[in-house]
Amino acid sequence: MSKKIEPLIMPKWGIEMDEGKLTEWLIDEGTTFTKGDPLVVIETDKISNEVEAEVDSTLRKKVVDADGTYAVGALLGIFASDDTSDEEIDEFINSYVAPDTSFKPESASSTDSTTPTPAVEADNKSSGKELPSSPPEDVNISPKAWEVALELDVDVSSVTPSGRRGRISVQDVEQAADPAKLAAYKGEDSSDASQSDNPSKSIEHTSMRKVIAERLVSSKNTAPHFYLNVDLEVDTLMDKRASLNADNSEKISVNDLIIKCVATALKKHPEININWTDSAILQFENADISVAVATDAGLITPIIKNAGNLSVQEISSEMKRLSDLAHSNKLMPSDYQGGTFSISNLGMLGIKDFTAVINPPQCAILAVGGLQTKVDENDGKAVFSKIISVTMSCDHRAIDGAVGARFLQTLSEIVKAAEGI
Amino acid sequence: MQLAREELEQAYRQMKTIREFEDHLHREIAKGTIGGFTHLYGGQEAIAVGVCENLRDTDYITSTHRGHGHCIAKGCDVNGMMKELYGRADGLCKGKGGSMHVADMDVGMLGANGIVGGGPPLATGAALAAKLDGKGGVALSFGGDGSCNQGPVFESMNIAAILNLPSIYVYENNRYSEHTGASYVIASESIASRVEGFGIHTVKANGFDFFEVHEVMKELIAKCREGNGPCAVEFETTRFYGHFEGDPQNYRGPDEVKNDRENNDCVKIFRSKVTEAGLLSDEDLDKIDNEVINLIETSAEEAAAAPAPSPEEVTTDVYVSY
Amino acid sequence: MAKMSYREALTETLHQEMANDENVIVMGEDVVGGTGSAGGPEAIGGVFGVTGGLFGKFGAERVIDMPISEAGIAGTAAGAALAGKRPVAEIMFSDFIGLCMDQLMNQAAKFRYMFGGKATCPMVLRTTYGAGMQAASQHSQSPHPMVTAIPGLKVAMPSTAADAKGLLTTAIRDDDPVIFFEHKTLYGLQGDVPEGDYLVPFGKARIVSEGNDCTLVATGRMVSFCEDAANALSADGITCDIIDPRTTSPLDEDAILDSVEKTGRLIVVDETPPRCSFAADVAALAASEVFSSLKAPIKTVTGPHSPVPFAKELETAFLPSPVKIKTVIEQTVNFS
Repeated sequence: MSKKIEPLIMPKWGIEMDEGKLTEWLIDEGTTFTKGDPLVVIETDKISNEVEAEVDSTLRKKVVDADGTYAVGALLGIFASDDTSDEEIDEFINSYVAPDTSFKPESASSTDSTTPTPAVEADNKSSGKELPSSPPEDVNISPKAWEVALELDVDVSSVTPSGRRGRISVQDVEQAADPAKLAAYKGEDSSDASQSDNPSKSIEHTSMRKVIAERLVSSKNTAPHFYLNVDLEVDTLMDKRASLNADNSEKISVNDLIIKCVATALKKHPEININWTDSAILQFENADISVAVATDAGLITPIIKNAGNLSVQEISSEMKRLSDLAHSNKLMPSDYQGGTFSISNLGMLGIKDFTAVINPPQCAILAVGGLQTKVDENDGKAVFSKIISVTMSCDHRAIDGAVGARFLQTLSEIVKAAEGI
Repeated sequence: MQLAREELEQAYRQMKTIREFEDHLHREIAKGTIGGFTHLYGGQEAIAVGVCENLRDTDYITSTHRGHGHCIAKGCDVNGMMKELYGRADGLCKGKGGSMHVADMDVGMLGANGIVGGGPPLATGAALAAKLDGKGGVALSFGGDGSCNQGPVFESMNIAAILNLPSIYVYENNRYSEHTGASYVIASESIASRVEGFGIHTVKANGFDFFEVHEVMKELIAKCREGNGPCAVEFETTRFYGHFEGDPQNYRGPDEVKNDRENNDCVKIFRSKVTEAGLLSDEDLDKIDNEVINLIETSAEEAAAAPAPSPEEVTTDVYVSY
Repeated sequence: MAKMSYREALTETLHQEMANDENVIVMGEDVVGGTGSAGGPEAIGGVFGVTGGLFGKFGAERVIDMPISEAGIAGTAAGAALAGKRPVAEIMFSDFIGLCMDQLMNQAAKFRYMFGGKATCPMVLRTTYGAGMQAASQHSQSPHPMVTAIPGLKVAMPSTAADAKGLLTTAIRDDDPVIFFEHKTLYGLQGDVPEGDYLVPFGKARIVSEGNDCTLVATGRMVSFCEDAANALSADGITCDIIDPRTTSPLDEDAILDSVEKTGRLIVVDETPPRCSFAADVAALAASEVFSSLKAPIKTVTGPHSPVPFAKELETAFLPSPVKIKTVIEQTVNFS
């Protein structure tokens, strides 16, 4: 006979049995039985069966009465040998925990006390977020689109819907929005800077800024740039400029002189005076020189057309005219579209030398630095001369190194001799 | 009987271990401490043990949903199995497989199987591998009467026959395909008679008697090892428990199980045969009984106290792309 | 209305439909139970008890116990349907559909189309699915996405007792093959069920609850998980639309999309692994049709890409749960 205390519990018959009814006790308390003896009758919604003893023992206690319905695993009675004390049996009953045989998952409502709080709950910032007021009943609009419409002050009744079943989408709202507001809204939304601690304001891209960005990115990505640098000796040129300006109210700038010299050099080197196209290199007769002009709105490059056939005075006044137009935003497309070569001059801003990005489909640009004084030694004495450092960016697809270098050599000679000035 | 004393003791120990293992599960499942769908082998022990005592560790078996007996007989660790049944981290299959998927490649146990008729095709493949290895290995599938009505079982027997594979098909006819009478669902006179149609050498035998099982299998397996192609056996047997634990078994005749337990209990039959022949004494056998009961109790206590697998284990042993 | 369980609703429907139409026949393993046994037939009435009482009323000719031959059962049902019967075949566990696949995928699903509309295949294949009972890898799967993916098959997944009746009636009267998924854990679920003829049309979702902040789409057992999760959040002022499509094929796309357009958020809950799943299918539908309505990424709550494990702790980790669903709702509603 088993000495241990054994529980008699509601058995689990059938995979979906949750509870059963104890309809009859077949033995009394104190009855000793052997394995196989019937003990109780249990009824489920499907069958009624006797429960047989699995061990030899004595029924010491009926924990429940007949005619009750109990969950699977519920304690029905206690088997134990006669020498087990009532206290031991009571203690067993009090500490008995029925196994969980249900298939029910833990409820989400009970989680706060029983499971660790999921990390996301800490990120509760928008549960109290104020949602926009609802759209009008008769307007079929997506929730996101409604938010955007409120943000952009768009009258949704005037928006043309493109969505499923005439629904207004975010795109539809954006299309109907005031472009400036839209740009500001998008700028805010898309800028990483808006996430930063540093306060910032959003400056909408102008169409000019977009064109500059697009063209320069394209140039750097498609044209393989290489750079040639040379110091132009400008003592003679500066002397000429001084005398020209002495008896003329219209002052000629260093830039005007450089444009003239470059135009002269281009006439001698048509292989530099070119445009690149996918099928061919276009070599031009006239030197149409684009000159970079910095305006408040951004960089623009009006063109001194046929500069090789113009005198330095003519170049100077044309440059003045174009520059004025540029600053007042009045350049016509014909004033800045085209060109065969570019000059960018930052010398007046104290830059010694720099490199510039080619302005496609042109294949070269000359970056002009400021006037410098150079010291050489000659026979133990210091000799001073004036120079301007220039750097030419070349598109290697069209211009090889030596070709570019020969052009700069020619230019150096022209400048040194102030040829044609 | 040509078995040595150690062999007899080993056979009895194995049968008794299966019996106690299953009886323990029967009690625990009713209490709800072990979950899942469990199909007990109690009553059929003589077949698993009589077959597997003729196999080597390097031979293969495939099993069924009623697989615990086959696993123990083939040498699976009882403690590891118990822990598997309790769903523990260091169960034989890390608690991932449970009752219907106990397996141990180290002893040639290619898995219990949740699909009726799932095993025989696999054993056929293992037999092909054994043939290619050329070391005299065999592969054997256990199946119930129900499995002989599955198409893949037929297909694989035909394949074994045409390829002359060392595969053995054991059918344990316990009279019930789940809850339906085998006599109703099997059209032919017997399972054996239909298997013969494939040109496979087939025997019918008494599965209640360990010694008959052992003798029949000894001869068949030896022939199979020699390259004589597949063979099959249909054993008559009984199931002491329901199709699954919780099956009220109201389709069985009054006192049918009681009668089987009294007259067709293979463990009792073994005991009376060896004691009557004076090969082993009651004391010898009682000693084994006590050792086995102790083993099962200890392994159950250990299993109940063993740690559950950690949830991360869900996605190990499988290719997970996200 | 009558109060009854999901199981009883199915049983009642089979009784009604067998009485209504003599072409309706029931076949499967143990659907009678005990045939050829000492205890005699009608002992079981299906392992889950759904086909109980049919044999006594309609006889062995129309209530047929089958051998364990799933491919044969599916094929026999398909052939009988092709020849004018309305078989209701039972496959005990939907995992065993693996054995039936040729008959379903290459045969039943395609007759009407391949034969130029000149044939119908009015069969129903009833089967049980779902994890949660520690039935392990080969008795716990939910293969509804697999059959939903096959043109020609219809797929129903009732989540309540009333839907069990309404959808099964529709399935039996439908001229196309229907795979009818009954969740193992729902058989005991009680509910009010309309009496007499009761049909729930296919492709018409049940709006389980209405809310503003998030749309939850789920079928079968997962519907009640969603309700639990949504209830837990209602105190915080978060309310959800819960949509039970009832049939995954045909799918009530409008009910789902209308709701997502209202709430701007979508979570699909399903107990299958995630790849090529019903959850992925619904998520893709919403992403392509109502993208501009979305305020947060679509989320799915599914099992991991693994078989269903045995141990209770592992199975719990595998399955979606009300707690997991609640967490994802919070993440989605708080997304910014």
